[in-house]
Amino acid sequence: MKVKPFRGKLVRKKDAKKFKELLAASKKPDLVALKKESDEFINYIKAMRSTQES
Amino acid sequence: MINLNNFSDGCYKIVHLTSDVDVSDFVSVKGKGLECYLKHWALVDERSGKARTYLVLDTCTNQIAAYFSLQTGLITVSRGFLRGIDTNTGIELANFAVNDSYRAVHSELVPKFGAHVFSQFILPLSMEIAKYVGASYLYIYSLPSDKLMAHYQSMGFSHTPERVRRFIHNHVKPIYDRGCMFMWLKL
Repeated sequence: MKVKPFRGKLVRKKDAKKFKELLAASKKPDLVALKKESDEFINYIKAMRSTQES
Repeated sequence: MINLNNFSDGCYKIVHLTSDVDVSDFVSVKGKGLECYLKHWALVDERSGKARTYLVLDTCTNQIAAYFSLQTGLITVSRGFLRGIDTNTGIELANFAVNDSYRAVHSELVPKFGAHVFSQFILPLSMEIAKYVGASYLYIYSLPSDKLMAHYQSMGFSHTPERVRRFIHNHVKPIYDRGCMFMWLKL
């Protein structure tokens, strides 16, 4: 993806509208999926540490 | 009152940055600005109340594994030239970096540690703060790296098409974040 820096131009009405729509349409993060991944990560770290200790 | 101990996962915990904490071993190879902020500016912002910085500590070694800063902010959209702006409330994840000197020793952390810090500490803390202070979004100005932006997207952040992104938020975007990409997540 090509990324360009801000060039200080004025806001166009349809771009502002598009942005507002995108903000309104955004969804909350999937907390269950994030928690599951976090738990897996911590279990993995705990297992690694117990292996290193033994 | 938010109790930071509640966010601990057994292996890591977060503490509020104070002058008592030694941050000298923090290294961010790709984010020298983030390293510089923690070492030179974070305490200044703490004293002025501009931002709050949290350190993620390894509970076994007490070493700093990562840090992040939060501050309140507005997401603004212009109504057009001289027609004012619409605003949305938010919390800005102003700084977020993993300690590369910690990661070098704990190679098993690669590459999921940042995502874990986000879902275990940053997101729950932001959601807790949003219970006390109205905040609809958590937002960031990401470094303009495709890989990093894809990483943030995997954590739930959205971003705009380039054409829209280039024309939004231009009247309040800090010079510190010039060239960075605006991304947001609904709280």
